[in-house]
Amino acid sequence: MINDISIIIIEDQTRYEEDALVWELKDRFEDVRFFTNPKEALDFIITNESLRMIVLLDIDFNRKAEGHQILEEIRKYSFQIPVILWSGIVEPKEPFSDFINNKTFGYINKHATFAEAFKIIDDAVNFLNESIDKAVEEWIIQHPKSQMDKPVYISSGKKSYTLNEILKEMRMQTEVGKDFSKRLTKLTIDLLMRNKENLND
Amino acid sequence: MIKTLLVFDENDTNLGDFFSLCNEELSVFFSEKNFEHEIIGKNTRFDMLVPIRIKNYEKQNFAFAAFVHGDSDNLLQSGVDPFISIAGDLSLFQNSFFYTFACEAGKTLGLELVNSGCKCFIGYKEKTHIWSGYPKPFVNTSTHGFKLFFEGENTKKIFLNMLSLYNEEIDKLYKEDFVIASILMENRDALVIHGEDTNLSSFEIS
Repeated sequence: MINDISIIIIEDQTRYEEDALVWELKDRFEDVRFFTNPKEALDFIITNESLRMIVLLDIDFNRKAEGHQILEEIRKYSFQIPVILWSGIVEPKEPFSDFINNKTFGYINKHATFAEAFKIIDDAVNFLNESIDKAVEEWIIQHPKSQMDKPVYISSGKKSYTLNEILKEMRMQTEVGKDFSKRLTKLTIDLLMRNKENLND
Repeated sequence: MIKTLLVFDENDTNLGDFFSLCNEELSVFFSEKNFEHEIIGKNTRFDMLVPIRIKNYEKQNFAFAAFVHGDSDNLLQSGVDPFISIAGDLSLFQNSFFYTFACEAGKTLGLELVNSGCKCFIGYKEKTHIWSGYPKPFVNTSTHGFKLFFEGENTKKIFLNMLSLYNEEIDKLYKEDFVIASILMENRDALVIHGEDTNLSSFEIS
Protein backbone atom coordinates (compact mmCIF):
# COMPACT_ATOMS: atom_id res chain seq x y z
CA MET A 1 0.00 0.00 0.00
CA ILE A 2 1.47 3.35 -1.03
CA ASN A 3 0.92 5.87 1.75
CA ASP A 4 3.01 8.85 0.70
CA ILE A 5 1.35 9.69 -2.61
CA SER A 6 -2.27 10.87 -2.95
CA ILE A 7 -4.38 10.12 -5.99
CA ILE A 8 -6.68 12.98 -6.98
CA ILE A 9 -9.40 12.00 -9.46
CA ILE A 10 -11.27 14.87 -11.11
CA GLU A 11 -14.34 13.49 -12.90
CA ASP A 12 -17.81 15.01 -12.95
CA GLN A 13 -19.73 11.75 -13.28
CA THR A 14 -20.17 10.09 -9.87
CA ARG A 15 -20.66 6.68 -11.47
CA TYR A 16 -16.93 6.55 -12.16
CA GLU A 17 -16.32 6.54 -8.42
CA GLU A 18 -17.34 2.87 -8.69
CA ASP A 19 -15.09 2.23 -11.68
CA ALA A 20 -12.87 -0.82 -11.31
CA LEU A 21 -9.75 1.34 -11.79
CA VAL A 22 -10.76 3.53 -8.84
CA TRP A 23 -11.23 0.45 -6.64
CA GLU A 24 -7.87 -0.86 -7.75
CA LEU A 25 -6.29 2.51 -6.96
CA LYS A 26 -7.88 2.41 -3.49
CA ASP A 27 -6.36 -1.01 -3.02
CA ARG A 28 -2.89 0.25 -3.90
CA PHE A 29 -2.92 3.81 -2.50
CA GLU A 30 -3.96 4.80 0.99
CA ASP A 31 -5.27 8.22 -0.04
CA VAL A 32 -7.55 8.31 -3.11
CA ARG A 33 -9.82 11.34 -3.44
CA PHE A 34 -12.63 11.65 -5.98
CA PHE A 35 -13.77 15.17 -6.88
CA THR A 36 -16.78 15.85 -9.07
CA ASN A 37 -16.33 19.59 -8.64
CA PRO A 38 -13.13 20.82 -10.37
CA LYS A 39 -12.96 23.97 -8.24
CA GLU A 40 -12.94 21.92 -5.05
CA ALA A 41 -10.23 19.74 -6.55
CA LEU A 42 -8.10 22.77 -7.45
CA ASP A 43 -8.57 24.23 -3.97
CA PHE A 44 -7.48 20.92 -2.47
CA ILE A 45 -4.39 20.74 -4.69
CA ILE A 46 -3.33 24.31 -3.96
CA THR A 47 -3.96 24.17 -0.20
CA ASN A 48 -2.17 20.85 0.29
CA GLU A 49 1.21 21.80 -1.07
CA SER A 50 3.05 19.34 1.16
CA LEU A 51 1.23 16.32 -0.31
CA ARG A 52 2.79 14.42 -3.16
CA MET A 53 -0.02 13.80 -5.63
CA ILE A 54 -0.93 12.29 -8.96
CA VAL A 55 -3.97 13.75 -10.71
CA LEU A 56 -6.29 11.70 -12.93
CA LEU A 57 -8.22 14.21 -14.96
CA ASP A 58 -11.27 13.69 -17.10
CA ILE A 59 -11.42 15.81 -20.24
CA ASP A 60 -15.15 16.15 -20.83
CA PHE A 61 -17.20 17.77 -18.08
CA ASN A 62 -20.90 17.99 -18.97
CA ARG A 63 -19.84 17.56 -22.57
CA LYS A 64 -17.62 20.63 -22.33
CA ALA A 65 -13.91 20.14 -22.67
CA GLU A 66 -13.31 21.58 -19.21
CA GLY A 67 -10.32 19.33 -18.60
CA HIS A 68 -8.23 21.73 -20.66
CA GLN A 69 -9.01 24.65 -18.34
CA ILE A 70 -8.49 22.55 -15.20
CA LEU A 71 -5.06 21.45 -16.43
CA GLU A 72 -4.21 25.05 -17.22
CA GLU A 73 -5.21 26.07 -13.67
CA ILE A 74 -3.09 23.28 -12.16
CA ARG A 75 -0.15 24.39 -14.29
CA LYS A 76 -0.54 27.98 -13.11
CA TYR A 77 0.31 26.50 -9.74
CA SER A 78 2.80 23.75 -10.56
CA PHE A 79 4.44 21.78 -13.33
CA GLN A 80 5.64 19.24 -10.77
CA ILE A 81 2.34 17.36 -10.32
CA PRO A 82 1.92 14.45 -12.76
CA VAL A 83 -1.47 14.93 -14.43
CA ILE A 84 -2.78 11.86 -16.27
CA LEU A 85 -5.73 12.31 -18.62
CA TRP A 86 -8.42 9.73 -17.87
CA SER A 87 -10.98 9.83 -20.58
CA GLY A 88 -13.33 7.79 -22.71
CA ILE A 89 -13.33 10.17 -25.64
CA VAL A 90 -11.87 9.24 -28.98
CA GLU A 91 -8.40 10.78 -29.08
CA PRO A 92 -8.22 12.14 -32.66
CA LYS A 93 -11.35 14.26 -32.13
CA GLU A 94 -9.78 16.04 -29.20
CA PRO A 95 -7.41 19.01 -29.64
CA PHE A 96 -4.44 17.71 -27.65
CA SER A 97 -1.81 20.38 -28.35
CA ASP A 98 -2.41 22.32 -25.14
CA PHE A 99 -2.28 19.08 -23.17
CA ILE A 100 1.18 18.54 -24.60
CA ASN A 101 2.22 22.13 -23.91
CA ASN A 102 0.96 21.88 -20.37
CA LYS A 103 2.94 18.71 -19.88
CA THR A 104 0.36 16.05 -19.17
CA PHE A 105 2.06 12.97 -17.84
CA GLY A 106 0.09 10.46 -19.89
CA TYR A 107 -3.28 9.31 -21.16
CA ILE A 108 -5.38 6.44 -19.86
CA ASN A 109 -8.44 5.43 -21.82
CA LYS A 110 -11.42 4.56 -19.63
CA HIS A 111 -11.50 1.20 -21.39
CA ALA A 112 -7.84 0.49 -20.70
CA THR A 113 -6.82 -2.71 -18.91
CA PHE A 114 -5.25 -2.47 -15.43
CA ALA A 115 -1.91 -3.36 -16.97
CA GLU A 116 -2.16 -0.46 -19.43
CA ALA A 117 -3.37 1.97 -16.79
CA PHE A 118 -0.82 1.04 -14.13
CA LYS A 119 2.05 1.22 -16.56
CA ILE A 120 1.39 4.97 -16.66
CA ILE A 121 0.43 5.36 -12.99
CA ASP A 122 3.56 3.47 -11.86
CA ASP A 123 5.65 5.74 -14.09
CA ALA A 124 4.09 8.73 -12.33
CA VAL A 125 4.91 7.19 -8.93
CA ASN A 126 8.51 6.67 -10.05
CA PHE A 127 8.63 10.24 -11.34
CA LEU A 128 7.61 11.53 -7.91
CA ASN A 129 9.93 9.20 -6.02
CA GLU A 130 12.92 10.06 -8.18
CA SER A 131 12.24 13.74 -8.67
CA ILE A 132 14.99 16.01 -7.39
CA ASP A 133 12.61 18.94 -7.54
CA LYS A 134 10.24 17.19 -5.20
CA ALA A 135 13.10 16.54 -2.76
CA VAL A 136 13.91 20.25 -2.75
CA GLU A 137 10.23 21.11 -2.29
CA GLU A 138 10.00 18.77 0.69
CA TRP A 139 13.16 20.28 2.18
CA ILE A 140 11.66 23.76 1.82
CA ILE A 141 8.24 22.84 3.19
CA GLN A 142 9.72 21.40 6.37
CA HIS A 143 10.83 24.92 7.38
CA PRO A 144 8.62 26.72 9.92
CA LYS A 145 5.83 28.79 8.33
CA SER A 146 7.26 31.91 9.99
CA GLN A 147 10.38 31.59 7.82
CA MET A 148 8.61 31.13 4.50
CA ASP A 149 8.37 34.80 3.57
CA LYS A 150 11.81 35.94 4.65
CA PRO A 151 14.47 36.37 1.96
CA VAL A 152 16.92 33.49 2.35
CA TYR A 153 18.48 32.82 -1.02
CA ILE A 154 20.43 35.90 -1.96
CA SER A 155 22.62 36.52 -4.97
CA SER A 156 25.57 38.85 -4.98
CA GLY A 157 24.11 39.70 -8.38
CA LYS A 158 21.42 41.66 -6.52
CA LYS A 159 18.39 39.34 -6.28
CA SER A 160 16.86 37.67 -3.27
CA TYR A 161 14.17 35.01 -2.88
CA THR A 162 12.01 33.82 0.02
CA LEU A 163 11.28 30.10 0.51
CA ASN A 164 7.78 30.64 -0.90
CA GLU A 165 9.24 32.37 -3.95
CA ILE A 166 11.71 29.52 -4.48
CA LEU A 167 8.82 27.02 -4.30
CA LYS A 168 6.96 29.01 -6.93
CA GLU A 169 10.02 29.24 -9.18
CA MET A 170 10.48 25.47 -8.92
CA ARG A 171 6.85 24.62 -9.54
CA MET A 172 6.73 26.88 -12.56
CA GLN A 173 10.07 25.46 -13.78
CA THR A 174 11.65 28.90 -14.31
CA GLU A 175 15.42 29.18 -14.80
CA VAL A 176 15.89 29.97 -11.09
CA GLY A 177 13.73 26.96 -10.17
CA LYS A 178 15.58 24.66 -12.55
CA ASP A 179 18.92 25.85 -11.12
CA PHE A 180 18.03 24.27 -7.77
CA SER A 181 17.61 20.82 -9.26
CA LYS A 182 20.64 21.19 -11.56
CA ARG A 183 22.76 22.12 -8.55
CA LEU A 184 21.61 19.03 -6.66
CA THR A 185 22.51 16.81 -9.58
CA LYS A 186 25.95 18.43 -9.66
CA LEU A 187 26.30 18.02 -5.90
CA THR A 188 25.52 14.31 -6.21
CA ILE A 189 28.19 13.93 -8.88
CA ASP A 190 30.62 15.99 -6.79
CA LEU A 191 30.09 13.78 -3.72
CA LEU A 192 30.56 10.64 -5.82
CA MET A 193 33.72 12.02 -7.43
CA ARG A 194 35.18 12.95 -4.05
CA ASN A 195 34.24 9.50 -2.68
CA LYS A 196 31.97 10.97 -0.04
CA GLU A 197 29.12 8.79 -1.26
CA ASN A 198 28.85 5.77 -3.50
CA LEU A 199 26.10 4.51 -5.74
CA ASN A 200 25.09 1.75 -3.32
CA ASP A 201 24.27 4.23 -0.54
CA MET B 1 52.82 45.76 7.88
CA ILE B 2 51.31 46.49 4.47
CA LYS B 3 48.39 48.85 4.02
CA THR B 4 45.06 47.07 4.00
CA LEU B 5 41.72 48.42 2.84
CA LEU B 6 38.41 46.57 3.26
CA VAL B 7 35.09 47.61 1.74
CA PHE B 8 31.78 46.22 3.04
CA ASP B 9 28.50 47.27 1.43
CA GLU B 10 26.60 47.06 4.69
CA ASN B 11 23.80 49.35 3.52
CA ASP B 12 22.88 47.02 0.68
CA THR B 13 19.22 45.96 0.88
CA ASN B 14 19.78 42.30 0.05
CA LEU B 15 23.26 41.38 1.21
CA GLY B 16 24.03 44.16 3.73
CA ASP B 17 23.54 41.88 6.75
CA PHE B 18 25.79 39.22 5.23
CA PHE B 19 28.50 41.77 4.42
CA SER B 20 28.26 43.02 8.03
CA LEU B 21 28.89 39.48 9.27
CA CYS B 22 31.96 39.29 7.02
CA ASN B 23 33.09 42.63 8.44
CA GLU B 24 32.70 41.30 12.00
CA GLU B 25 34.57 38.11 11.14
CA LEU B 26 37.53 39.93 9.58
CA SER B 27 37.57 42.68 12.21
CA VAL B 28 37.90 40.06 14.96
CA PHE B 29 40.70 38.40 12.98
CA PHE B 30 42.59 41.66 12.41
CA SER B 31 42.24 42.80 16.00
CA GLU B 32 43.37 39.42 17.37
CA LYS B 33 46.42 39.55 15.11
CA ASN B 34 46.91 43.23 15.80
CA PHE B 35 47.03 44.03 12.07
CA GLU B 36 46.36 47.60 11.02
CA HIS B 37 43.60 48.01 8.47
CA GLU B 38 41.12 50.54 7.18
CA ILE B 39 37.43 49.84 6.65
CA ILE B 40 34.96 51.57 4.35
CA GLY B 41 31.47 50.54 5.31
CA LYS B 42 28.20 52.29 5.99
CA ASN B 43 26.93 55.64 4.80
CA THR B 44 29.59 56.62 2.35
CA ARG B 45 30.23 56.74 -1.39
CA PHE B 46 32.66 54.06 -2.41
CA ASP B 47 33.46 55.70 -5.76
CA MET B 48 34.70 58.79 -3.90
CA LEU B 49 36.42 57.24 -0.91
CA VAL B 50 38.15 54.15 -2.33
CA PRO B 51 40.42 56.08 -4.78
CA ILE B 52 41.26 58.68 -2.11
CA ARG B 53 42.35 55.99 0.35
CA ILE B 54 44.34 54.07 -2.24
CA LYS B 55 46.12 57.17 -3.55
CA ASN B 56 47.39 57.68 0.02
CA TYR B 57 49.24 54.38 -0.30
CA GLU B 58 51.44 55.99 -2.97
CA LYS B 59 51.76 52.85 -5.08
CA GLN B 60 53.19 50.80 -2.24
CA ASN B 61 52.08 47.18 -2.02
CA PHE B 62 48.67 46.86 -0.40
CA ALA B 63 45.85 44.40 0.19
CA PHE B 64 42.29 45.16 -0.82
CA ALA B 65 39.10 43.23 -0.07
CA ALA B 66 35.57 44.06 -1.20
CA PHE B 67 32.39 42.41 0.07
CA VAL B 68 30.01 44.02 -2.38
CA HIS B 69 27.82 43.25 -5.38
CA GLY B 70 29.42 42.99 -8.77
CA ASP B 71 29.26 41.91 -12.36
CA SER B 72 31.87 40.84 -14.87
CA ASP B 73 33.17 44.39 -15.43
CA ASN B 74 32.49 46.20 -12.15
CA LEU B 75 32.31 46.20 -8.40
CA LEU B 76 29.05 47.88 -7.44
CA GLN B 77 27.75 49.82 -4.49
CA SER B 78 24.10 48.96 -3.64
CA GLY B 79 24.15 46.63 -6.62
CA VAL B 80 23.97 49.51 -9.10
CA ASP B 81 26.74 52.10 -8.78
CA PRO B 82 30.13 51.02 -10.15
CA PHE B 83 33.07 52.10 -8.02
CA ILE B 84 35.76 49.89 -9.55
CA SER B 85 35.30 49.32 -13.25
CA ILE B 86 37.15 48.21 -16.35
CA ALA B 87 36.00 51.56 -17.73
CA GLY B 88 37.92 53.37 -14.98
CA ASP B 89 41.54 53.69 -13.88
CA LEU B 90 42.60 50.23 -12.72
CA SER B 91 46.24 51.29 -12.36
CA LEU B 92 45.21 52.42 -8.87
CA PHE B 93 45.44 48.74 -7.96
CA GLN B 94 49.06 48.32 -9.06
CA ASN B 95 50.96 46.26 -6.49
CA SER B 96 47.83 45.02 -4.76
CA PHE B 97 46.45 41.72 -3.58
CA PHE B 98 42.80 42.04 -4.63
CA TYR B 99 40.19 39.82 -2.95
CA THR B 100 36.44 39.99 -3.49
CA PHE B 101 33.18 38.10 -2.99
CA ALA B 102 31.47 40.06 -5.79
CA CYS B 103 29.54 38.13 -8.43
CA GLU B 104 31.33 37.46 -11.70
CA ALA B 105 34.15 39.97 -11.06
CA GLY B 106 36.65 37.21 -11.77
CA LYS B 107 35.48 37.01 -15.37
CA THR B 108 36.79 40.27 -16.82
CA LEU B 109 37.53 42.76 -14.05
CA GLY B 110 39.97 40.40 -12.31
CA LEU B 111 41.93 39.83 -15.51
CA GLU B 112 41.99 43.54 -16.32
CA LEU B 113 43.20 44.35 -12.81
CA VAL B 114 46.11 41.93 -13.24
CA ASN B 115 46.83 43.41 -16.69
CA SER B 116 46.97 46.80 -14.99
CA GLY B 117 49.56 45.74 -12.43
CA CYS B 118 47.56 44.09 -9.64
CA LYS B 119 49.76 41.24 -8.37
CA CYS B 120 47.04 38.74 -7.61
CA PHE B 121 43.26 38.60 -7.80
CA ILE B 122 41.06 36.07 -5.99
CA GLY B 123 37.33 36.26 -6.67
CA TYR B 124 34.41 34.55 -8.36
CA LYS B 125 33.82 34.13 -12.07
CA GLU B 126 30.10 33.31 -11.83
CA LYS B 127 27.14 34.51 -9.78
CA THR B 128 27.58 33.74 -6.09
CA HIS B 129 24.73 33.09 -3.67
CA ILE B 130 24.26 32.85 0.05
CA TRP B 131 21.58 31.27 2.27
CA SER B 132 20.85 33.98 4.80
CA GLY B 133 19.02 31.57 7.12
CA TYR B 134 22.37 29.85 7.70
CA PRO B 135 25.13 32.34 6.91
CA LYS B 136 28.02 30.88 8.92
CA PRO B 137 29.53 28.58 6.25
CA PHE B 138 29.18 31.38 3.69
CA VAL B 139 30.96 33.86 5.98
CA ASN B 140 33.68 31.29 6.73
CA THR B 141 34.35 30.41 3.12
CA SER B 142 34.19 33.94 1.77
CA THR B 143 36.58 35.44 4.35
CA HIS B 144 38.97 32.48 4.68
CA GLY B 145 41.32 33.38 1.83
CA PHE B 146 41.92 36.93 2.98
CA LYS B 147 42.80 35.70 6.48
CA LEU B 148 45.23 33.15 5.04
CA PHE B 149 47.05 35.88 3.13
CA PHE B 150 47.77 37.61 6.45
CA GLU B 151 48.91 34.33 7.92
CA GLY B 152 51.64 34.31 5.30
CA GLU B 153 50.24 31.73 2.90
CA ASN B 154 51.11 31.90 -0.81
CA THR B 155 48.20 32.99 -2.99
CA LYS B 156 48.01 29.78 -5.05
CA LYS B 157 47.93 27.78 -1.83
CA ILE B 158 45.29 30.14 -0.49
CA PHE B 159 43.15 29.33 -3.51
CA LEU B 160 43.53 25.57 -2.94
CA ASN B 161 42.89 26.02 0.76
CA MET B 162 39.69 27.89 0.03
CA LEU B 163 38.51 25.01 -2.17
CA SER B 164 39.28 22.61 0.71
CA LEU B 165 37.30 24.71 3.19
CA TYR B 166 34.35 24.76 0.78
CA ASN B 167 34.54 20.96 0.62
CA GLU B 168 34.66 20.68 4.41
CA GLU B 169 31.59 22.89 4.79
CA ILE B 170 29.74 21.00 2.03
CA ASP B 171 30.54 17.66 3.66
CA LYS B 172 29.29 18.85 7.04
CA LEU B 173 26.02 19.99 5.54
CA TYR B 174 24.90 17.85 2.65
CA LYS B 175 23.13 15.06 4.53
CA GLU B 176 20.70 17.43 6.28
CA ASP B 177 20.77 20.62 4.25
CA PHE B 178 21.61 19.51 0.74
CA VAL B 179 20.21 22.68 -0.81
CA ILE B 180 22.58 24.88 1.18
CA ALA B 181 25.46 22.48 0.46
CA SER B 182 24.71 22.70 -3.26
CA ILE B 183 24.87 26.52 -3.14
CA LEU B 184 28.24 26.34 -1.39
CA MET B 185 29.41 23.92 -4.08
CA GLU B 186 28.39 26.37 -6.78
CA ASN B 187 30.29 29.19 -5.04
CA ARG B 188 33.31 26.89 -4.76
CA ASP B 189 33.20 26.17 -8.48
CA ALA B 190 33.00 29.88 -9.29
CA LEU B 191 36.20 30.68 -7.37
CA VAL B 192 39.06 31.92 -9.57
CA ILE B 193 42.60 33.22 -9.17
CA HIS B 194 44.50 35.48 -11.58
CA GLY B 195 48.05 36.83 -11.44
CA GLU B 196 51.20 35.71 -9.73
CA ASP B 197 51.81 33.37 -6.83
CA THR B 198 52.77 35.78 -4.09
CA ASN B 199 52.56 36.21 -0.34
CA LEU B 200 52.61 38.72 2.48
CA SER B 201 56.39 38.61 3.00
CA SER B 202 57.12 39.47 -0.62
CA PHE B 203 54.63 42.36 -0.26
CA GLU B 204 56.44 43.63 2.82
CA ILE B 205 59.94 43.35 1.34
CA SER B 206 59.41 45.07 -2.02
